[in-house]
Amino acid sequence: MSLHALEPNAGGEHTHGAGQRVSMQYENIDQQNESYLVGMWSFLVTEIMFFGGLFLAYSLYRVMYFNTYLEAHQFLLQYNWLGMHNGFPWLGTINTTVLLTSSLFMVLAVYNAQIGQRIKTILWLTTVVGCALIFMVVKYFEYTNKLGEGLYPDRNFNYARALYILKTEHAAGHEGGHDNPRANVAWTAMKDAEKAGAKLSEEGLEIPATQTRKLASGIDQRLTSVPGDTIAFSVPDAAYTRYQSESNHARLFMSIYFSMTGLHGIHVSLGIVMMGLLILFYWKKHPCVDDYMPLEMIGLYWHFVDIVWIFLFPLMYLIS
Amino acid sequence: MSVSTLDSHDTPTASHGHARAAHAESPYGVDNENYINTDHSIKSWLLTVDHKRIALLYLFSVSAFFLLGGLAAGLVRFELTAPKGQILSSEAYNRVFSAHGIIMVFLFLVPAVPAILANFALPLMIGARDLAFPRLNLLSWYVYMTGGTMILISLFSGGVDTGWTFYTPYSSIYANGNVALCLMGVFFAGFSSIFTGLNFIVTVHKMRAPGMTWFRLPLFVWAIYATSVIIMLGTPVVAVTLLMVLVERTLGFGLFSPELGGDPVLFQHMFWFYSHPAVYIMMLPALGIINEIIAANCKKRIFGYEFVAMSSLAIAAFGFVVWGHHMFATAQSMYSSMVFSIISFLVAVPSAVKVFNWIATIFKGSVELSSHMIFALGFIGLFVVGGLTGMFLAALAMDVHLTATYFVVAHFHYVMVGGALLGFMAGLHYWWPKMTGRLYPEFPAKLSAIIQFVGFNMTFFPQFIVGYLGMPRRYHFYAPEYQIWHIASTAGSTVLGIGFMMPACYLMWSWFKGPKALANPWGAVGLEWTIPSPPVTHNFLEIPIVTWEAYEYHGEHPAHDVLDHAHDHDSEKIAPVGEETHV
Repeated sequence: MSLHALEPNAGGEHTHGAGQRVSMQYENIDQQNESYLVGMWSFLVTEIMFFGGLFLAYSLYRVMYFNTYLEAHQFLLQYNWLGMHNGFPWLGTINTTVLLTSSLFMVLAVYNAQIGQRIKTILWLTTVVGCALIFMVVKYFEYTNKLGEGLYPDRNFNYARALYILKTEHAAGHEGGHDNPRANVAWTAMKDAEKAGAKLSEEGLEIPATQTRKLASGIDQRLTSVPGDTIAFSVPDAAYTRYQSESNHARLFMSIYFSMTGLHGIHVSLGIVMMGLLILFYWKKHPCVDDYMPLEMIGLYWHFVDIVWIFLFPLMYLIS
Repeated sequence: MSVSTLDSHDTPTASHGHARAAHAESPYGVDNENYINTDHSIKSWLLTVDHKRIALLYLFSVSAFFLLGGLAAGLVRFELTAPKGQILSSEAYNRVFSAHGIIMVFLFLVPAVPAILANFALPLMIGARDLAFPRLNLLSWYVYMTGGTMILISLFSGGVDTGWTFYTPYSSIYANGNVALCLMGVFFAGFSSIFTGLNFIVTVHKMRAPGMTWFRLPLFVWAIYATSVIIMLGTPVVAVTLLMVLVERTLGFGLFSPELGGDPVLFQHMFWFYSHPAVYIMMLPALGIINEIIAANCKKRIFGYEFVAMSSLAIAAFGFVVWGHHMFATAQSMYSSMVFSIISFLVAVPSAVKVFNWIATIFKGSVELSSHMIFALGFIGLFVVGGLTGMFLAALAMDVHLTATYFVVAHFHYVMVGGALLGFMAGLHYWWPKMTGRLYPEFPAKLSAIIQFVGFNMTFFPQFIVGYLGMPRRYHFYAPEYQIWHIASTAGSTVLGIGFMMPACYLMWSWFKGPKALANPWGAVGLEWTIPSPPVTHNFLEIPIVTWEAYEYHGEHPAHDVLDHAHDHDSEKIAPVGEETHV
């Protein structure tokens, strides 16, 4: 039975049960359903524009600071995860798989709602919610991991620390260890600082007391205005400027990463809430789900959320 | 009489007397239950899903915000009568003009015509019982009120001194005051307008009465449709932009602040990507209203209907590709600026199409100078001045001299106040009998139209001059040689204020004491004039089948049958039922 045959005008009343209520303002059920669909698609257009602003910011900064993007996106890869050091976006891949699969389940839920299989609808919807929850849990671990590395993109953004962790984890995956092949201005600057007597550690860079004093008294006053960023340089101004500029751009990448995935996460969470309500309505045989349109609407929304992720995943995790 | 079919025309009915008699036997009844008196409880108003009642909710809330914004404007004008200010500190002055801008733009101009007049009239004009999503419509009012409340709280608890444009990094890092709450309020107001626009789009697409083809739609509907498209495509962008500022301000993310690596000009691009089209959100509905009024008062079909309809869409389309002209004085590349400049000039083409078509419609029309027609004529004049000075500003070299001066302020107000606000006033007067079922007194209405026109020019024309002479906008202190122009402007604003207060008085009076309006007081055509004033809750007892073109003043149209002869003596001669041609 094709889905097309289930269009309301083809199936007739009995297909949908007795529950098709036509609201006062509509002439018939076709007009009502078409209005719902046009409305939902229009809403999705606004959603595209809504995300579009962030995609624009992403693209602009990517064009401007491509090298930093290339470097910073490695924070999203797993260099030390379950014993694997190959820098594969494991968490992102899991989330992509989970979300794409959930879209299939959503289609099955809508299909079952169309042919009036209430219990199956509930079951499929529950699996969708399950997938969405897995997505959010993985997201939670990703976020806490980033925050733990000092990648929260505000004034206390600690690029040195995150870079240090990244480089050591990356090196651990290779016998004998080797630096990331790509030129990294900030890392080079930090290495220079190390040569000059600073100590590179998990907390970033620590400057020997004598040097710190020298710095504080003289060359680099700006250091004091960057609270929390523990890095300091004995190789003065130029290297620091190079470090800071790249640190700023890396912060930009992380800001956009958190903004976009955060906004997407909010959409996923809203989807969970709405699907939870639908499950409840189907469970209680609430009259508003006698018709499959509400689920169809949520389904469209869910596919949209999915598609946004399909764009986010390569743009964030697969830069090369 | 049947308003929903043309049965009454099938037999050659000789007289209007018949129509009047039929009116008394109208299936709607006369003076019977309508959407206003159907239920008087507060609950029935706050939980209503009737588009007409929601329009009235919007009318009162939007008017209240207009009053607040107007008071702020008055304070600004009073303050500027002396070069060193009168009563306000500079900080307070910044907060007052910001409050004026934020309230007027986001809480008055954007929702004024769509959420009040289109909300009321659009379903009536296309022959629908309601908008497609009545509950979404109510939700949009609540979202609007939430946003408005947030903005008010932020303005009264410390205020915001960013101006209505919220430029970063000032707004995101340095500004004191409740910027975050205010941004949130604007975000909510934006979503309210998205809901409204979405509702209109679906309604126009799916709810038109049988026979109401796209090119039979009244031009107001076309304008609202174009507006809704802009709302749907533009507002989400400003929503996410303000959200980004909010994130930068509250969570400390670096997105726009150069200190944190961002690019503040990106904010300006994203902001104006919405906010330039937003002026068309404010303008287009007003332009649509003028079509209705000119047709109704000239008793003619709008000249070049198709071109006027398409010019609305053209303005909407052009509106999205001109935002860069707000950034001529930034580091924007010269070549982008040139392209933006050229496209900005092109906006004049569809705007001029409208103006010339109106003039062609008025030409040899039997013009009736009713109050709303005077508003409309004033609108055309001010819109032309506002539009032409827009051409000055679109010219790159000129703009470098004039940018961020009072010239821009004057241009903006000529378009927004002289255009959008007078258009709103015109529309309010035009549909007031339909909304309330009462007629307002014509004389004070005409007087207020003239006072508003005069007061407006007195207020804002001096600002062109003082801006050209070099007075920057938003300055609290200024050089003494500009004082004379500021005093002239302030004097004019008093007149303008009186002009705005008059409608509040006589319209409110008419609501309670005015003579009752019959179905078609202006002798206009259009489906909204075929049903009683005020309409019943579901508008049409039977959905009409449309067999006539828009503005069918000389052919057959059911609105001719319900002419309110008691009020409008001329219309008897002017608007024939057309039985000769028909039989």
